[in-house]
Amino acid sequence: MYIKSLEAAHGEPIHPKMAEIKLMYNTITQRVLLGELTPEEAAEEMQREAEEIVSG
Amino acid sequence: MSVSPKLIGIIIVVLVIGVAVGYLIPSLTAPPPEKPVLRVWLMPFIDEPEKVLAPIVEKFEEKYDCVVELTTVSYAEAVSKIQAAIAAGEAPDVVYQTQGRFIPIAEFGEAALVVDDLVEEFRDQFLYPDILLESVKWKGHFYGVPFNFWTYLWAVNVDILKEAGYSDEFINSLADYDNPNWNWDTLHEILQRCTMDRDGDGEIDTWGMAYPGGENWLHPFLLWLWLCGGEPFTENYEPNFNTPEVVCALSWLKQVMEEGLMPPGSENLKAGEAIDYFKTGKVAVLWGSGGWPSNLCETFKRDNPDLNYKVIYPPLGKAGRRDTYLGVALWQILKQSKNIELAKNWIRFWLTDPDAQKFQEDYLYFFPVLENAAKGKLSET
Repeated sequence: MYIKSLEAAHGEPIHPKMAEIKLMYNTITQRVLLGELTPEEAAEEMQREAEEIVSG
Repeated sequence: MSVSPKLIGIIIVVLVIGVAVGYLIPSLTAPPPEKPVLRVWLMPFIDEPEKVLAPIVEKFEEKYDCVVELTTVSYAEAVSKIQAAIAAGEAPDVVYQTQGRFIPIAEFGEAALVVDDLVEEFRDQFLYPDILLESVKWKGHFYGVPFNFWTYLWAVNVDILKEAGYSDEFINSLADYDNPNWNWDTLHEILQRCTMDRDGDGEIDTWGMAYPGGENWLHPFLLWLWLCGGEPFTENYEPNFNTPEVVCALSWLKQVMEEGLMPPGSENLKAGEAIDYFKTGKVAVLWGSGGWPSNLCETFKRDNPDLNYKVIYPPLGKAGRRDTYLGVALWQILKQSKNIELAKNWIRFWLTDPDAQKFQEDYLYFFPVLENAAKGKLSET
């Protein structure tokens, strides 16, 4: 089954700032689970912070 | 004075022996020519890697008449230590790499060797080359060669599903890759039906699934994003988060949380704790995070022999396709290497040697990348 699942597999996103971006989206997801942000607000916040990280 | 022929003979014999000894002694006492040294840096993908890898390394040393020096650096420090070694002009020849770490080295003064030629040498032999190879490509080039991979599968607790009224036939159908009814809606229904008060004390004691909301792993959020059909970056590596797919993934997690289908406190759960919820029979579905081969093929059975679970495929996502995570390990050669050809042979060896291939399944619980690789116990599970 593992070999078969390769058909559905998605490689890790390749980006030099992935470590910072990962921390960013996990932190914001946690805020959604805590009820501090709606999914729409969170998506906007993720985009804003990701752009900061990439340009920083 | 005449010299007897016998004396002449003795003198000649002595001279011959003297000359022979004169030549032989230095050659016997001189150090043997130095063997080339291959310096390989590893990350601790297994406990005591130097010790565990010894039989494979010895076989390589014998085949290529060389010496391999293994050094282990922690995952956390790997990138900074490799970069420091490069800056000091003392880079190792080859480094074990992960998808998340090979780019900072490739970008660090272009220190990594482009190995497109080596990849091409094996391209026709790779399993699903479009998936495996594309996942380790950076700006059109290969800065390492993948040598093993793993994916995540899902699992369900058979006892909980049966108690929730599901039949064996239904449970088995979740392991049918082509089953169109194993989709997101079915998943939602399973989570709802399996969140139960099983002992009748008025308290919920099994939940549908657990999410590690307090963990900083890469894949938990991405697995749901991918099932929603999203990507965190555009093809040009630009952030791609303000999208309907990101809203879809977050809305799902919020919904599952609000409906009480996850254990209380999931927003702060660590990854190991979320996995333990499944391993100890407290959630019905292991949804990928934790579904790597060593867990599903051995660890769960060893740690909880009573856990009655079935390995299944992920459901069809909102975008109409199944999706899961692909992890790949690579060997990366550094340009400072004084033994580039030997370093390439190290990679060829890991790709083609039957013992090295079996080792990856038997000890690492990862699969070798070539289609016709020797099979280890993982493939036989």
